[in-house]
Amino acid sequence: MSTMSQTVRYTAVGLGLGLAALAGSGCASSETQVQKAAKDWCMTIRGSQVIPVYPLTEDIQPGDIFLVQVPIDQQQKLYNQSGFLALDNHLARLNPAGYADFYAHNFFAKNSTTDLPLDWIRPGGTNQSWQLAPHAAFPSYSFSVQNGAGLNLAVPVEGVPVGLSLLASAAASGTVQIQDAHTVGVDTLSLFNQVQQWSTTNADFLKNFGTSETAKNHNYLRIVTRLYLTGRMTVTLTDASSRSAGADAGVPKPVNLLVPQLPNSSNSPATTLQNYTNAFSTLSSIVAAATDAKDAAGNILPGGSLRLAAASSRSVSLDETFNPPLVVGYLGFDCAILPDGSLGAPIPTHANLDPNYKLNQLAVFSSNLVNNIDTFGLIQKNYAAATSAQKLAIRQKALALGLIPSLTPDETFIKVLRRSVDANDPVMTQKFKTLSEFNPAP
Amino acid sequence: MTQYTKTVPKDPAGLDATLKAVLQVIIFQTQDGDLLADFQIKPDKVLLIFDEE
Repeated sequence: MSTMSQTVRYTAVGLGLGLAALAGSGCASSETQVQKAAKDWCMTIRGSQVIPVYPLTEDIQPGDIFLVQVPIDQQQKLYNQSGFLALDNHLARLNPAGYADFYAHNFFAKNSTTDLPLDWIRPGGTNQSWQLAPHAAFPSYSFSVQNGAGLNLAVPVEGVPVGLSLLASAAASGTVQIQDAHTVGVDTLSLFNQVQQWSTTNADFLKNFGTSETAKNHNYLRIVTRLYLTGRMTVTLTDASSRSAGADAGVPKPVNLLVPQLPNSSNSPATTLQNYTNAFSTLSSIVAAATDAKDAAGNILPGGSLRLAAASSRSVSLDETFNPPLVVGYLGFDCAILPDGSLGAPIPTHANLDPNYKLNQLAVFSSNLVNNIDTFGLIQKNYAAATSAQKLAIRQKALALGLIPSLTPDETFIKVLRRSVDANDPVMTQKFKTLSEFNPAP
Repeated sequence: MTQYTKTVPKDPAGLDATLKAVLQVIIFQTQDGDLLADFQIKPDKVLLIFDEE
């Protein structure tokens, strides 16, 4: 009994030393270490075509509007250097009105009065945060650790340093799995219309950041349309060092508790199982103690809760639960702010951040241009064949859609309408399609 | 005089596709006549400026 107590004390000391060693390794350049952790983690999320959020947070929603005052080419450099884009200039939070239509035919019950995202974040009377939201899945990510070389994947979860301490190994390999992932989003078109209304109301403020189309650098609004959240991360670490058993010097490894003892006359399989169960419980209590961060008043500090999922003498698996789930990434679009405070066309954020996107952008533009010209030709044909009353109705419809600035006379309508054709603008493209399908009463 | 602009993204791999798209926009926008077209070449796009006399 006293031997077990001593071992537990040693393992607790070993865990503390391991954590201290990990923390200490960053003392030489803690800023660099933090930046590396941020970049490594974000590159992992970016592998899934999602723009990472760092640090992980609960407080970001579709409809959030951020001001971006860094030129696109500089953003691309920053994105490659840091791995993420700081969302530090939070201008406004719109409540997307498009949720109801977006989810009406799949995730909402009939005649539902679901209020998103509130009813998914805090479902009434339950503690099942985000459980009603559509599920998402991420691939697992592998990484390795070399003593003195640092992690080649640093992640902002406690499981990795705690697991390393339990292994006390010079080298380890592992995987991180993002689990219990959910997503919520809204369509760009409806949100862009809301953003345009918001920008009209706040044009005086936005004018301060407006730049002409010919300017070298632009200021942008970045609008979040979709979020990805995780409720749990599983970290599995395997000792990759080649030392033989019993060669450890100094403080024994905590996971050595799990080295099975050979059966003898007094050590039946049942006893071995009991020993393993006891050792597992001991390790679990060590993990719980290591992660029970409390403030001066004794309150548990926010963050994930860590639980030992599995362990052997050469591997350890830890579950970190986030309740409520935290946002790991987002999708969105950017709009340039023009001199009068109005907004340019919505460009997907990931497209702005990819220097190779221009190639695809031209291909998309050329394809859209052909479609736009065809649509315009149809409108022109319909207009030419219409009666005077129908022509007036078409012009009024074009005005209502915002395709012409005022109710132009018949003879200049086509000429003025033509100016609005813009293959870069999906909203205008959609409006022209709407006009081409408009059937005025005879 | 009415002035308005259109932009055509540049193809970093070559001029042909960009030039074709620029000409398509100019031809389409000038179909009603009485329109001057000018352009500025930016690092990532071609800016077309149309002036209606």
